[in-house]
Amino acid sequence: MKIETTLNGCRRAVDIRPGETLLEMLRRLGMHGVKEGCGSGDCGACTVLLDGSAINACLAFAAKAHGHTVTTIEGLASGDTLHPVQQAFLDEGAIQCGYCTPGMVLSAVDFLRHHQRPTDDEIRRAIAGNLCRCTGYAKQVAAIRRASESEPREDA
Amino acid sequence: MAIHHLREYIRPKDLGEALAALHRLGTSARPIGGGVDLVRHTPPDVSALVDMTTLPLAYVREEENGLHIGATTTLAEIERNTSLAEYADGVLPEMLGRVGSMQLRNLATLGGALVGAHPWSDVVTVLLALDATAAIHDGDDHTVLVADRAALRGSLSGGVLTEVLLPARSANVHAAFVKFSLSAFDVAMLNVCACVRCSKARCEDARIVLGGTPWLATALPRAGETLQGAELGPDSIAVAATTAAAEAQVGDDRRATAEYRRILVEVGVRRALVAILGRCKGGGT
Repeated sequence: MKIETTLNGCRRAVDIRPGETLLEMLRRLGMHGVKEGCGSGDCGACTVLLDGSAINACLAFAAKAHGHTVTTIEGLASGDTLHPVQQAFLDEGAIQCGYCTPGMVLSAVDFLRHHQRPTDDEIRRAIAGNLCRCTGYAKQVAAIRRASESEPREDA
Repeated sequence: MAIHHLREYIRPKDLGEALAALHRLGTSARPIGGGVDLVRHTPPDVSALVDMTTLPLAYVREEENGLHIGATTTLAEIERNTSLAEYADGVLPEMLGRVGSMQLRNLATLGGALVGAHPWSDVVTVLLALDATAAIHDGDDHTVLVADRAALRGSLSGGVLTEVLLPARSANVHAAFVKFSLSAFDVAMLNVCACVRCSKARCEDARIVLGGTPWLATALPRAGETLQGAELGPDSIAVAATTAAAEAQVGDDRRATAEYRRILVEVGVRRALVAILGRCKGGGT
Protein backbone atom coordinates (compact mmCIF):
# COMPACT_ATOMS: atom_id res chain seq x y z
CA MET A 1 0.00 0.00 0.00
CA LYS A 2 1.11 3.57 -0.59
CA ILE A 3 1.07 6.37 1.96
CA GLU A 4 1.81 10.06 1.64
CA THR A 5 3.63 11.68 4.50
CA THR A 6 5.77 14.70 5.24
CA LEU A 7 9.09 13.39 6.50
CA ASN A 8 11.50 15.96 7.90
CA GLY A 9 9.83 18.70 5.90
CA CYS A 10 9.73 16.82 2.57
CA ARG A 11 6.53 15.35 1.15
CA ARG A 12 7.07 11.69 0.37
CA ALA A 13 5.03 8.91 -1.19
CA VAL A 14 6.14 5.65 0.39
CA ASP A 15 5.24 2.04 -0.36
CA ILE A 16 4.66 0.13 2.86
CA ARG A 17 3.33 -3.24 3.95
CA PRO A 18 0.11 -3.08 6.02
CA GLY A 19 1.81 -4.64 9.03
CA GLU A 20 5.04 -2.64 8.83
CA THR A 21 5.99 -0.47 11.81
CA LEU A 22 6.91 3.17 11.50
CA LEU A 23 10.34 2.28 12.87
CA GLU A 24 10.96 -0.20 10.06
CA MET A 25 9.75 2.25 7.43
CA LEU A 26 11.93 5.09 8.69
CA ARG A 27 15.08 2.99 8.89
CA ARG A 28 14.37 1.63 5.41
CA LEU A 29 14.24 5.25 4.24
CA GLY A 30 17.68 5.86 5.72
CA MET A 31 16.64 7.55 8.96
CA HIS A 32 19.18 5.65 11.02
CA GLY A 33 18.94 8.08 13.92
CA VAL A 34 15.75 6.18 14.75
CA LYS A 35 17.13 3.27 16.77
CA GLU A 36 15.60 -0.06 17.59
CA GLY A 37 16.29 -0.93 21.20
CA CYS A 38 13.62 -3.04 22.84
CA GLY A 39 10.99 -3.08 20.10
CA SER A 40 8.27 -2.98 22.73
CA GLY A 41 7.91 0.67 23.70
CA ASP A 42 10.05 0.56 26.82
CA CYS A 43 13.41 2.10 25.91
CA GLY A 44 12.45 5.13 23.80
CA ALA A 45 15.40 4.78 21.39
CA CYS A 46 12.96 4.85 18.44
CA THR A 47 11.22 8.07 19.53
CA VAL A 48 10.10 10.32 16.66
CA LEU A 49 7.68 13.22 16.42
CA LEU A 50 4.32 12.56 14.75
CA ASP A 51 2.68 15.95 14.18
CA GLY A 52 4.98 17.24 16.91
CA SER A 53 4.09 14.60 19.50
CA ALA A 54 6.77 12.18 20.65
CA ILE A 55 5.82 8.56 19.99
CA ASN A 56 7.54 5.19 19.97
CA ALA A 57 8.01 4.38 16.29
CA CYS A 58 8.18 0.69 17.20
CA LEU A 59 4.62 0.86 18.56
CA ALA A 60 3.09 2.65 15.56
CA PHE A 61 2.04 1.13 12.29
CA ALA A 62 3.74 2.88 9.37
CA ALA A 63 0.28 3.56 7.93
CA LYS A 64 -0.26 5.97 10.84
CA ALA A 65 2.06 8.43 9.07
CA HIS A 66 -0.33 8.85 6.13
CA GLY A 67 -1.35 12.49 5.91
CA HIS A 68 0.80 13.43 8.87
CA THR A 69 4.17 14.99 9.59
CA VAL A 70 7.03 12.88 10.88
CA THR A 71 10.18 14.42 12.32
CA THR A 72 13.24 12.35 13.12
CA ILE A 73 16.48 13.57 14.60
CA GLU A 74 17.78 14.03 11.05
CA GLY A 75 15.17 16.72 10.44
CA LEU A 76 15.38 18.67 13.69
CA ALA A 77 18.16 21.15 12.91
CA SER A 78 17.60 24.09 10.57
CA GLY A 79 20.46 23.78 8.11
CA ASP A 80 23.64 24.21 10.12
CA THR A 81 21.80 25.61 13.12
CA LEU A 82 21.04 23.01 15.75
CA HIS A 83 17.71 22.95 17.51
CA PRO A 84 18.03 24.56 20.97
CA VAL A 85 17.55 21.15 22.60
CA GLN A 86 20.33 19.63 20.49
CA GLN A 87 22.57 22.58 21.31
CA ALA A 88 21.80 22.27 25.01
CA PHE A 89 22.71 18.57 24.95
CA LEU A 90 26.06 19.50 23.38
CA ASP A 91 26.66 22.37 25.78
CA GLU A 92 25.93 20.22 28.82
CA GLY A 93 27.84 17.19 27.52
CA ALA A 94 24.65 15.17 27.90
CA ILE A 95 25.86 12.50 25.50
CA GLN A 96 27.94 9.42 26.01
CA CYS A 97 27.52 6.49 23.62
CA GLY A 98 24.74 8.40 21.87
CA TYR A 99 22.36 5.52 21.26
CA CYS A 100 19.56 7.01 23.36
CA THR A 101 20.30 10.61 22.38
CA PRO A 102 18.01 11.03 19.33
CA GLY A 103 15.02 9.70 21.26
CA MET A 104 15.89 11.67 24.37
CA VAL A 105 16.21 14.91 22.37
CA LEU A 106 12.91 14.40 20.55
CA SER A 107 11.07 13.57 23.78
CA ALA A 108 12.46 16.79 25.24
CA VAL A 109 11.33 18.79 22.21
CA ASP A 110 7.74 17.58 22.62
CA PHE A 111 7.82 18.00 26.38
CA LEU A 112 9.01 21.61 26.14
CA ARG A 113 6.10 22.46 23.82
CA HIS A 114 3.80 21.96 26.79
CA HIS A 115 6.06 23.01 29.67
CA GLN A 116 7.66 26.46 29.48
CA ARG A 117 9.68 26.32 32.69
CA PRO A 118 9.61 22.75 33.98
CA THR A 119 10.92 21.54 37.29
CA ASP A 120 13.60 18.86 37.37
CA ASP A 121 10.98 16.41 38.61
CA GLU A 122 8.77 17.16 35.60
CA ILE A 123 11.75 16.73 33.29
CA ARG A 124 12.60 13.38 34.84
CA ARG A 125 9.00 12.21 34.40
CA ALA A 126 9.03 13.38 30.79
CA ILE A 127 12.09 11.30 29.90
CA ALA A 128 10.99 8.27 31.92
CA GLY A 129 10.35 6.56 28.61
CA ASN A 130 13.92 7.04 27.40
CA LEU A 131 16.45 4.68 28.91
CA CYS A 132 20.12 5.61 29.03
CA ARG A 133 22.56 2.88 30.05
CA CYS A 134 25.63 5.17 30.20
CA THR A 135 24.76 8.13 32.37
CA GLY A 136 22.86 8.91 35.51
CA TYR A 137 20.48 11.22 33.60
CA ALA A 138 21.78 14.27 35.47
CA LYS A 139 23.31 15.87 32.38
CA GLN A 140 20.25 15.21 30.24
CA VAL A 141 18.06 16.84 32.88
CA ALA A 142 20.44 19.81 32.99
CA ALA A 143 20.37 20.03 29.19
CA ILE A 144 16.60 20.03 29.02
CA ARG A 145 16.44 22.64 31.77
CA ARG A 146 18.97 24.72 29.83
CA ALA A 147 16.94 24.37 26.64
CA SER A 148 13.79 25.48 28.47
CA GLU A 149 15.60 28.65 29.47
CA SER A 150 16.69 29.42 25.90
CA GLU A 151 14.64 31.19 23.25
CA PRO A 152 11.33 29.49 22.52
CA ARG A 153 11.13 27.94 19.08
CA GLU A 154 7.88 27.15 17.31
CA ASP A 155 8.91 25.12 14.32
CA ALA A 156 9.60 21.75 15.91
CA MET B 1 8.62 -6.14 14.18
CA ALA B 2 6.32 -6.11 11.18
CA ILE B 3 3.12 -8.12 11.41
CA HIS B 4 3.50 -10.21 8.28
CA HIS B 5 0.03 -11.73 8.25
CA LEU B 6 -1.70 -8.34 8.03
CA ARG B 7 -3.08 -7.90 4.53
CA GLU B 8 -5.23 -4.80 4.80
CA TYR B 9 -5.05 -1.46 6.60
CA ILE B 10 -8.29 0.43 6.15
CA ARG B 11 -8.69 4.18 6.70
CA PRO B 12 -12.43 4.75 6.78
CA LYS B 13 -13.87 8.13 5.81
CA ASP B 14 -16.83 7.90 8.16
CA LEU B 15 -18.40 5.68 10.80
CA GLY B 16 -20.57 3.92 8.24
CA GLU B 17 -17.55 2.93 6.19
CA ALA B 18 -15.73 1.69 9.30
CA LEU B 19 -18.69 -0.39 10.35
CA ALA B 20 -19.21 -1.78 6.85
CA ALA B 21 -15.57 -2.88 6.69
CA LEU B 22 -15.78 -4.55 10.10
CA HIS B 23 -19.00 -6.34 9.17
CA ARG B 24 -17.65 -7.40 5.77
CA LEU B 25 -14.41 -8.81 7.23
CA GLY B 26 -15.90 -10.26 10.41
CA THR B 27 -13.49 -11.64 12.98
CA SER B 28 -10.52 -11.18 10.65
CA ALA B 29 -10.70 -7.40 11.16
CA ARG B 30 -10.10 -5.29 14.25
CA PRO B 31 -10.70 -1.58 14.84
CA ILE B 32 -7.65 0.22 16.19
CA GLY B 33 -7.01 3.51 17.93
CA GLY B 34 -3.29 4.01 18.51
CA GLY B 35 -2.73 0.36 17.64
CA VAL B 36 -0.11 -0.07 20.37
CA ASP B 37 -1.46 -3.46 21.46
CA LEU B 38 -1.96 -4.95 18.01
CA VAL B 39 1.38 -3.74 16.67
CA ARG B 40 2.99 -6.06 19.19
CA HIS B 41 0.50 -8.92 19.32
CA THR B 42 -1.83 -9.20 16.36
CA PRO B 43 -3.64 -12.55 16.65
CA PRO B 44 -2.89 -14.84 13.70
CA ASP B 45 -6.53 -14.85 12.57
CA VAL B 46 -6.58 -11.04 12.23
CA SER B 47 -5.58 -9.94 8.73
CA ALA B 48 -7.10 -6.44 8.54
CA LEU B 49 -7.11 -3.32 10.69
CA VAL B 50 -9.61 -0.47 10.59
CA ASP B 51 -7.97 2.75 11.79
CA MET B 52 -10.57 4.66 13.80
CA THR B 53 -8.26 7.66 14.25
CA THR B 54 -9.16 8.81 10.73
CA LEU B 55 -12.62 9.67 12.11
CA PRO B 56 -13.41 12.87 14.07
CA LEU B 57 -13.58 11.06 17.40
CA ALA B 58 -10.77 12.86 19.25
CA TYR B 59 -12.39 15.42 21.53
CA VAL B 60 -13.35 16.31 25.09
CA ARG B 61 -16.63 18.20 25.32
CA GLU B 62 -18.45 19.32 28.43
CA GLU B 63 -22.22 19.30 28.02
CA GLU B 64 -25.17 19.42 30.40
CA ASN B 65 -25.30 15.66 30.80
CA GLY B 66 -21.59 15.30 31.45
CA LEU B 67 -18.18 15.09 29.88
CA HIS B 68 -17.95 13.44 26.49
CA ILE B 69 -14.56 12.00 25.56
CA GLY B 70 -14.15 10.77 22.00
CA ALA B 71 -12.93 7.20 21.57
CA THR B 72 -9.77 8.17 19.70
CA THR B 73 -8.73 10.90 22.13
CA THR B 74 -5.20 10.02 23.16
CA LEU B 75 -4.31 9.47 26.78
CA ALA B 76 -1.94 12.47 26.53
CA GLU B 77 -4.76 14.72 25.31
CA ILE B 78 -6.87 13.63 28.27
CA GLU B 79 -3.95 14.16 30.63
CA ARG B 80 -3.58 17.78 29.44
CA ASN B 81 -7.27 18.66 29.18
CA THR B 82 -8.25 21.49 31.49
CA SER B 83 -11.88 20.33 32.01
CA LEU B 84 -10.69 16.90 33.08
CA ALA B 85 -8.09 18.44 35.38
CA GLU B 86 -11.01 19.83 37.39
CA TYR B 87 -13.29 16.80 37.11
CA ALA B 88 -13.48 14.60 40.24
CA ASP B 89 -10.30 16.11 41.66
CA GLY B 90 -8.51 15.49 38.37
CA VAL B 91 -8.38 11.76 38.97
CA LEU B 92 -8.11 10.92 35.26
CA PRO B 93 -4.95 13.00 34.66
CA GLU B 94 -3.64 11.84 38.05
CA MET B 95 -4.00 8.23 36.92
CA LEU B 96 -2.69 8.82 33.39
CA GLY B 97 0.52 10.30 34.76
CA ARG B 98 1.21 6.77 36.02
CA VAL B 99 0.45 5.00 32.73
CA GLY B 100 3.53 4.12 30.68
CA SER B 101 5.62 6.81 29.06
CA MET B 102 4.79 10.13 27.41
CA GLN B 103 5.43 8.46 24.03
CA LEU B 104 2.94 5.71 24.78
CA ARG B 105 0.30 8.15 26.00
CA ASN B 106 0.72 10.19 22.82
CA LEU B 107 -0.32 7.14 20.80
CA ALA B 108 -2.68 5.12 22.98
CA THR B 109 -6.33 6.12 22.94
CA LEU B 110 -9.10 6.00 25.52
CA GLY B 111 -11.11 3.71 23.27
CA GLY B 112 -8.19 1.36 22.84
CA ALA B 113 -7.70 1.17 26.59
CA LEU B 114 -11.36 0.46 27.21
CA VAL B 115 -11.86 -2.06 24.39
CA GLY B 116 -8.49 -3.72 25.08
CA ALA B 117 -9.64 -4.17 28.69
CA HIS B 118 -6.37 -5.47 30.06
CA PRO B 119 -6.67 -6.86 33.58
CA TRP B 120 -4.03 -4.44 34.80
CA SER B 121 -5.62 -1.43 33.10
CA ASP B 122 -5.55 1.70 35.23
CA VAL B 123 -7.94 3.41 32.79
CA VAL B 124 -10.71 0.83 33.20
CA THR B 125 -10.44 1.00 37.01
CA VAL B 126 -10.95 4.77 37.02
CA LEU B 127 -13.75 4.71 34.42
CA LEU B 128 -15.63 2.16 36.55
CA ALA B 129 -15.20 4.26 39.67
CA LEU B 130 -16.47 7.34 37.82
CA ASP B 131 -19.55 5.42 36.62
CA ALA B 132 -18.70 5.98 32.96
CA THR B 133 -20.93 5.07 30.06
CA ALA B 134 -19.77 3.86 26.65
CA ALA B 135 -21.45 5.07 23.45
CA ILE B 136 -21.60 2.45 20.70
CA HIS B 137 -22.48 2.87 17.04
CA ASP B 138 -23.76 -0.24 15.29
CA GLY B 139 -25.84 1.52 12.68
CA ASP B 140 -27.82 3.08 15.51
CA ASP B 141 -26.36 4.88 18.50
CA HIS B 142 -26.83 3.50 21.98
CA THR B 143 -25.13 3.52 25.35
CA VAL B 144 -24.06 0.91 27.86
CA LEU B 145 -22.53 1.23 31.31
CA VAL B 146 -18.82 0.44 31.36
CA ALA B 147 -19.53 -1.54 34.52
CA ASP B 148 -21.87 -3.86 32.58
CA ARG B 149 -19.03 -5.83 31.06
CA ALA B 150 -21.16 -8.47 29.37
CA ALA B 151 -23.40 -5.90 27.71
CA LEU B 152 -20.39 -3.84 26.65
CA ARG B 153 -18.68 -6.88 25.14
CA GLY B 154 -21.88 -7.81 23.33
CA SER B 155 -22.35 -4.30 21.95
CA LEU B 156 -18.76 -4.12 20.76
CA SER B 157 -19.08 -7.38 18.87
CA GLY B 158 -21.44 -5.71 16.43
CA GLY B 159 -20.50 -2.08 16.75
CA VAL B 160 -17.73 0.39 17.44
CA LEU B 161 -17.04 2.54 20.47
CA THR B 162 -17.50 6.21 19.65
CA GLU B 163 -17.16 7.94 23.01
CA VAL B 164 -17.11 7.65 26.77
CA LEU B 165 -19.49 9.75 28.82
CA LEU B 166 -18.70 10.76 32.39
CA PRO B 167 -21.56 11.95 34.63
CA ALA B 168 -22.01 15.70 34.98
CA ARG B 169 -19.42 17.38 37.15
CA SER B 170 -20.25 17.92 40.82
CA ALA B 171 -18.24 19.78 43.43
CA ASN B 172 -19.31 17.13 45.95
CA VAL B 173 -17.73 14.25 44.07
CA HIS B 174 -14.18 13.43 45.04
CA ALA B 175 -11.92 10.71 43.75
CA ALA B 176 -8.41 9.38 44.19
CA PHE B 177 -6.28 6.77 42.47
CA VAL B 178 -3.58 4.57 43.95
CA LYS B 179 -1.31 2.25 41.99
CA PHE B 180 1.14 -0.35 43.14
CA SER B 181 3.69 -1.57 40.62
CA LEU B 182 7.06 -3.27 40.71
CA SER B 183 8.67 -0.26 39.05
CA ALA B 184 7.48 3.21 38.12
CA PHE B 185 7.11 2.01 34.54
CA ASP B 186 5.47 -1.36 35.07
CA VAL B 187 1.76 -2.15 34.85
CA ALA B 188 -0.14 -2.40 38.11
CA MET B 189 0.14 -5.39 40.40
CA LEU B 190 -2.86 -3.70 41.99
CA ASN B 191 -4.66 -0.43 41.44
CA VAL B 192 -7.44 1.25 43.40
CA CYS B 193 -9.81 4.07 42.58
CA ALA B 194 -12.26 5.43 45.11
CA CYS B 195 -14.98 7.87 44.17
CA VAL B 196 -17.03 9.43 46.95
CA ARG B 197 -19.94 11.84 46.96
CA CYS B 198 -19.75 13.70 50.21
CA SER B 199 -21.11 16.74 51.91
CA LYS B 200 -18.98 18.32 54.65
CA ALA B 201 -17.04 15.05 54.98
CA ARG B 202 -20.27 13.02 55.39
CA CYS B 203 -20.33 10.35 52.76
CA GLU B 204 -23.50 10.02 50.70
CA ASP B 205 -22.29 7.43 48.24
CA ALA B 206 -19.01 5.65 47.57
CA ARG B 207 -17.62 3.45 44.84
CA ILE B 208 -14.40 1.55 45.36
CA VAL B 209 -12.87 -0.27 42.40
CA LEU B 210 -9.86 -2.57 42.17
CA GLY B 211 -7.86 -3.57 39.12
CA GLY B 212 -4.92 -5.85 38.43
CA THR B 213 -6.16 -8.32 41.03
CA PRO B 214 -4.86 -9.88 38.57
CA TRP B 215 -8.23 -9.88 36.85
CA LEU B 216 -10.15 -7.10 35.17
CA ALA B 217 -11.26 -4.18 37.32
CA THR B 218 -14.23 -4.78 39.55
CA ALA B 219 -16.15 -2.80 42.15
CA LEU B 220 -16.28 -3.68 45.85
CA PRO B 221 -19.90 -2.90 46.77
CA ARG B 222 -19.69 -4.02 50.41
CA ALA B 223 -16.70 -1.79 51.10
CA GLY B 224 -18.51 1.12 49.45
CA GLU B 225 -21.65 0.52 51.50
CA THR B 226 -19.74 0.81 54.79
CA LEU B 227 -19.21 4.48 53.94
CA GLN B 228 -22.78 5.39 53.10
CA GLY B 229 -24.05 7.91 55.63
CA ALA B 230 -20.80 7.74 57.56
CA GLU B 231 -18.57 10.64 58.33
CA LEU B 232 -15.38 10.17 56.37
CA GLY B 233 -12.62 9.90 58.95
CA PRO B 234 -9.98 7.51 60.29
CA ASP B 235 -12.52 5.08 61.76
CA SER B 236 -14.82 4.80 58.74
CA ILE B 237 -11.81 4.61 56.43
CA ALA B 238 -10.35 1.74 58.47
CA VAL B 239 -13.66 -0.14 58.30
CA ALA B 240 -13.91 0.37 54.53
CA ALA B 241 -10.31 -0.72 54.00
CA THR B 242 -10.61 -3.91 56.06
CA THR B 243 -13.96 -4.71 54.43
CA ALA B 244 -12.35 -4.23 51.02
CA ALA B 245 -9.50 -6.57 51.89
CA ALA B 246 -11.99 -9.22 52.99
CA GLU B 247 -14.26 -8.70 49.98
CA ALA B 248 -11.62 -8.56 47.23
CA GLN B 249 -11.10 -11.50 44.91
CA VAL B 250 -7.34 -11.63 44.45
CA GLY B 251 -5.02 -14.16 42.89
CA ASP B 252 -1.41 -15.01 42.14
CA ASP B 253 0.57 -14.07 39.08
CA ARG B 254 4.21 -13.26 38.33
CA ARG B 255 3.86 -9.77 39.79
CA ALA B 256 2.46 -10.61 43.22
CA THR B 257 0.91 -13.32 45.33
CA ALA B 258 -2.73 -13.25 46.37
CA GLU B 259 -1.60 -12.87 49.97
CA TYR B 260 0.44 -9.77 49.15
CA ARG B 261 -2.31 -8.34 46.97
CA ARG B 262 -4.79 -8.63 49.83
CA ILE B 263 -2.49 -6.52 51.99
CA LEU B 264 -2.20 -4.01 49.15
CA VAL B 265 -5.99 -3.79 48.87
CA GLU B 266 -6.27 -2.58 52.45
CA VAL B 267 -3.37 -0.15 52.08
CA GLY B 268 -4.56 1.13 48.70
CA VAL B 269 -8.16 1.70 49.75
CA ARG B 270 -7.02 3.47 52.90
CA ARG B 271 -4.63 5.73 50.99
CA ALA B 272 -7.27 6.59 48.40
CA LEU B 273 -9.86 7.44 51.05
CA VAL B 274 -7.38 9.47 53.11
CA ALA B 275 -6.59 11.46 49.97
CA ILE B 276 -10.30 12.02 49.40
CA LEU B 277 -10.79 13.09 53.01
CA GLY B 278 -8.16 15.76 52.49
CA ARG B 279 -9.85 16.87 49.29
CA CYS B 280 -13.31 17.00 50.92
CA LYS B 281 -11.97 19.25 53.65
CA GLY B 282 -9.87 21.27 51.25
CA GLY B 283 -12.83 21.77 48.91
CA GLY B 284 -15.04 23.11 51.71
CA THR B 285 -17.98 21.05 50.55
